[in-house]
Amino acid sequence: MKEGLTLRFVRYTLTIFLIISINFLIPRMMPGDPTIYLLGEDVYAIAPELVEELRRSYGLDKPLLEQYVIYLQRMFCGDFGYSFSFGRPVLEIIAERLPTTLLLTLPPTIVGSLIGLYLGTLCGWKAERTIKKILSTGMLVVYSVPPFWLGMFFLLFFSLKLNLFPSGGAPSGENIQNFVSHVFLPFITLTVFVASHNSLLMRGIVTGTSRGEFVLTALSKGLPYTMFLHRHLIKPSLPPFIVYAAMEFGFAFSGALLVEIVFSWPGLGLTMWEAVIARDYPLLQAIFVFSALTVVLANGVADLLCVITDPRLRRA
Amino acid sequence: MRMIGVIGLSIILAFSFVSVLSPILIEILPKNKSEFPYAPPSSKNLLGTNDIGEDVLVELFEGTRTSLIIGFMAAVISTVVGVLVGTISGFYGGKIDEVIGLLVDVFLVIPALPLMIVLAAYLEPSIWNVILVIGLLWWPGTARVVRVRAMQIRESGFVETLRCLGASNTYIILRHIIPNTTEVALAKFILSVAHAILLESGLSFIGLGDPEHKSWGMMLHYAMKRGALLGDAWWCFVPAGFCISATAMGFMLLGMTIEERYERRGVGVE
Repeated sequence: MKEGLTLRFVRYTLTIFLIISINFLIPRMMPGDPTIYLLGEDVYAIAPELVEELRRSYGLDKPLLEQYVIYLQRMFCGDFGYSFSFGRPVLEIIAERLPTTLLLTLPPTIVGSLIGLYLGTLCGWKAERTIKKILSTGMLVVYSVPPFWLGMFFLLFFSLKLNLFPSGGAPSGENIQNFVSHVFLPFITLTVFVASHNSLLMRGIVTGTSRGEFVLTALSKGLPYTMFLHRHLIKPSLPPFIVYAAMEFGFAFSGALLVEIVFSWPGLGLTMWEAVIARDYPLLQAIFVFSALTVVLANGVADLLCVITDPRLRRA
Repeated sequence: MRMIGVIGLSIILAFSFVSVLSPILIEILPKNKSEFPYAPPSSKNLLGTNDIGEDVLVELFEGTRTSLIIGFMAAVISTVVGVLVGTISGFYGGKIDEVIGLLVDVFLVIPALPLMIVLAAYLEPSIWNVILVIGLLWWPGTARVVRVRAMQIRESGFVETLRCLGASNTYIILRHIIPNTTEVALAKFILSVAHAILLESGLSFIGLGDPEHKSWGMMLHYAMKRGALLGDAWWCFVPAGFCISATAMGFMLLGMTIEERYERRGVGVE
């Protein structure tokens, strides 16, 4: 936490480098010809001369290190390969679907974190009280539910039984009401999911903070409860909370990918479902790379937020 | 908190019991295979049938075994790797620790599920591959807590005494450091089982499970793919999801209880 900016920079560079390298190594480490993975089995069977040509253009007949250079060059030119199941360049599909996923993921992340922040604080302060123990156990119960199943359950109950919401798909037209009705169920599903994760996190942190002597001082000064809560309990707990909540963003993002499938939300998750069925490896790998980069970016933003909330870091 | 741990343990025991007895239970059940697809629950099929007329309750029993085996084995792998990496990093310190620490931090940031999905898509769909993929990607969390513990023990008096007596590093690590990390490792192991079960359900849900071993996640996959969800056949997916949540919860409750007990008792070295 109190590390310098250079180390942090090194860490992010290393993370991105590692993600890109893992992506490079996966098809080459797997049994079988990597060309098949790039082209799809159908093309491989039909057009052998095309296979040879592609093998040369990807440099798959060269040593691994040279292949890596070619791979990096292609990546920096925005060439992530060609999706044979969609019949389009991979980057085009990602550029279209990633924003849709973010539209679905970001609002629940923010709302869920805030709910989790307060719920966790309430449960972490005087955690030995029975009511708080019951509440914490309830949060743990929600934490154990796979988010996509929660989505299926909500869909069954609210759209099929009560007929309140459409059963999925993308919002159509400019109509606000239409948009809200399509977004509502996945939004609630993900908010509940994120809130359960973050409240457990915050509870642990607040339990630690409340042992501090400054908390006792603040209490004995006779501060009003809300002021005590915000200034002396939540504020010192914020920096670690933000760091860990950013790590949890990986979970939220992964969860959102699966929730998208349930609600037929046309983002990266639904694309992943289609790519798995078609065994469209270039597309699948690009989804991994962009998901990972999004999560890394979120962690970077969290680090900045930390500097804002923690005066000790601001001075450094 | 003790009661919560007991509840968790009983849930785990109940599911383990079912998984051991599942061959017998399946025999006893009134099952009418290949009756009708999507038959609602009745006295013939207690939980109805799925899209190809198989009894859902039988599927659930088979799934119990798959989910528990995958959860358990994947957690064993991730705990062994995590304890080894964490111990080496915490005990040796210095440059080794810096490098491993950096790697652990980096791995914690990379979202596990998308990576697991890519790997599982390349590999043959078998439960062993699912176990390996989950186990080999889930260790960084364990390594991190074990590392802290190993550092504490390294600094304690009895390790210094051992050193003065001329004990080798390997001896100290194997006989004194690793045994002292058991409690943290145990809590992490039990929590890993819960996470592995949840991750397996995600992998199977997206269609990467072993078709020869039916699992709860796979039931959800077929419910989604073949229209049980929109066809209102709730018995095809509500019980399966309930089982996933309940088992995961059992392990979470037990794991958190152990973790909390350990934290409350403080960090003394015995």
